[in-house]
Amino acid sequence: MAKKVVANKEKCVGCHICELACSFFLDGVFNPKRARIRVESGYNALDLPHVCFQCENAPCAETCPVEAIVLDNGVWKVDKNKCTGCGECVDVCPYSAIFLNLTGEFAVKCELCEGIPCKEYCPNEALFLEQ
Amino acid sequence: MIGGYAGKYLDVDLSTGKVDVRLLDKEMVEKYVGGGGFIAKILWDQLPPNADPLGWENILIITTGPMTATLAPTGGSWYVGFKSPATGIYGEGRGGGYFGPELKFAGYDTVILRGRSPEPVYLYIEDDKVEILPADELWGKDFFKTVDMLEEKYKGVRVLGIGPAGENLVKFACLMSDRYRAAGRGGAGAVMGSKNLKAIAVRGSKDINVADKEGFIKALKDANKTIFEHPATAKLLPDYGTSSLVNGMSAFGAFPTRNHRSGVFESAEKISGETMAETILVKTRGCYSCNIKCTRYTMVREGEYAGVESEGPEYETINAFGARCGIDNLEAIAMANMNANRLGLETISTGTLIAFAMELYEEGLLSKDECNGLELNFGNHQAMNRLLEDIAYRRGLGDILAEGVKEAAVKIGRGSEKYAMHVKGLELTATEPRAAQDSGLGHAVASRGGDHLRPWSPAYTLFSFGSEELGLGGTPDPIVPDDKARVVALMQRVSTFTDMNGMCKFTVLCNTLAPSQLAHLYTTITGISFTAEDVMQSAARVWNLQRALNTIKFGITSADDTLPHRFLNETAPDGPAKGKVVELDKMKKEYYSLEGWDDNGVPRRERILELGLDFVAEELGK
Repeated sequence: MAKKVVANKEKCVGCHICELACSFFLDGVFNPKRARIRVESGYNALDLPHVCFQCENAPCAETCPVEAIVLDNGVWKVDKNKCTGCGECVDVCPYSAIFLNLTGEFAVKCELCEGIPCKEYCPNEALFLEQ
Repeated sequence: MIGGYAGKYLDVDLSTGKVDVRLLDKEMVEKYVGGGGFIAKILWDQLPPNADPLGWENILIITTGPMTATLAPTGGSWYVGFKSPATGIYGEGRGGGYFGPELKFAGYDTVILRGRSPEPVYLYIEDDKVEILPADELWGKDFFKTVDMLEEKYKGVRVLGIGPAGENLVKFACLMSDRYRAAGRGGAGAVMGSKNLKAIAVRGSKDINVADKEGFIKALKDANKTIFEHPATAKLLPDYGTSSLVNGMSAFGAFPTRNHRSGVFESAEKISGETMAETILVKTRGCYSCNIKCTRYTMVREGEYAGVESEGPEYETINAFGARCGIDNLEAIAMANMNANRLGLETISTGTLIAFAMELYEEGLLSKDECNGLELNFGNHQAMNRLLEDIAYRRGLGDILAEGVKEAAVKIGRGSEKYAMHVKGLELTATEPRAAQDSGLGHAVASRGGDHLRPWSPAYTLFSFGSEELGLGGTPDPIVPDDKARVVALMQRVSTFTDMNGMCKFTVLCNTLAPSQLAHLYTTITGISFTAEDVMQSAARVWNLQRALNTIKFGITSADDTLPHRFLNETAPDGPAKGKVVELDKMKKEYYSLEGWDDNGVPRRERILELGLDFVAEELGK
């Protein structure tokens, strides 16, 4: 089974620290719109983290017209050079866990970085690593 | 490059519809940090001292701090500043939720709102696009509906605004954001309403930079470790929220009951955080970037209040709508809390007003007819909930109470002033000062009037949460005046600083983070070198500038630094402080001396110059 970050939505408190940690440790700035994990916070106590499930049969990869989403050691990664930013993967992902970057040029998703800062800084143990 | 700040601010003239984008001034950043510091400086420079708080000439400032929208613990704050319609002096508040960070992601640290729009409008900000748009469809709607309508129109937007209370110029209407977060004691909502501004909706996609990334990670790990180990931030607040204080405060005799007649509530347990956890609590939440997680999301599942859901009620709200009104029904308190949020009423003042009316009714100073036909005895929760709506819509007695307790007592007359619990026109809060003398001093001298959080010194004097760095140790005696001036002054500094830097006061409320840790976070994020002494000194500068505004521009004197009749003349009837009054004069004298204020409570020239406030010195003695 593939390694992946898994979220427990019951434990998520809606602080969005995972988004800040993701953008800070991977992009060097604070900007949730760069993050590869995103939390949807409603006002009815529902906080829903969206993060890549590293599907076995990944709809994003299957849909990609230029085969830019490739499996690397059990983790789906986006080849930025191939990706055209068409956004079809974003539309088909059942977990809403792949996004277009700020300029809309290519797709971004959780590629299981080193240290997994989203998990490390989560203040309520709502994220964990499954392998 | 200075990190942390967005670097720009918006200057919006609602009278003309002109919007200017300006660059943040370097001196402004270095001397005043942000939040209350920016607010005090802008009001000093730009507000005509005799401005009518509800007139076009008042200025409403929405701002953030350098830690807002960062990983710094609790870096999710926004602040509001204005001349208060309740007090006529400095007005400021702090809010959490998501609005503040979103404003910074849109590229702005601050929004200055001037003038008055001829028609109801809202402000829409999306990165570089800033528009003033008609709010005909939003005006008259409650705040929840306002948020729903704007979110439907703009996906992912964060909303700050007012409810009907603000539109109706209730003097203690607050600003609301993100549905359940409130800020602006002293009538920020009325000021916004007077400008015909219903809401600000914002979404942004810009970066916030950090000056020293490696250094920041170190500072962050150190601060987080302290937060996760300190009993207040690791246990009390996450487990039971602010309402974790209810039982303890009542045991200390410090839980104001029946309009502050007593500090002991016999039914405290029934409205405590522990009871909440077993009954109406649905989920624990946190504001943006918060790792303390004190927010409670609650829902009433059965009985006459079934279906009520909201964030909260918080400690202050539980006391205001609970013990202070003699009410021990947590579900009724949840109802009042939800309605206050929906209508945009600030809960502390609203509860004070209802408790005031209840005491007047029980003392025979108001008749049932004068109370909108309500039997307004302490404990009548149906009447409390009815009166709350009457205040927001200014119906009957509600119209008088909507003026704030100071003015309401003048309107009612009949000796009611004796029961009006306020300092300088700002209603009092959920700490009984006879049982925590320091809190009496804190309320008497605070910049915005009866302030519960700058500082909340009972964390040390009642709960013994000390600080090695501040020199606060051992087990202080809360019912004697000794040493309280020093305690109040020191704790004011750190809570003033977290009201400048974009963090939440709960990181310092119980002395969790030390000034050196605040300095380390600030230095690494901004790149401006700050020591623990700089933290204390910049907070002192801002505190004294606020005081200078109040004394030099708004005419406050030592005589205004006082407490309601009850605390100075009636002894506490029960609890550990039984037989005590507040010994204010002794503490005040010491406090003035420590602060460097003269006998009139005005900062002395040498103190002003030492703090680098030369422009204030020029106004002294004019």
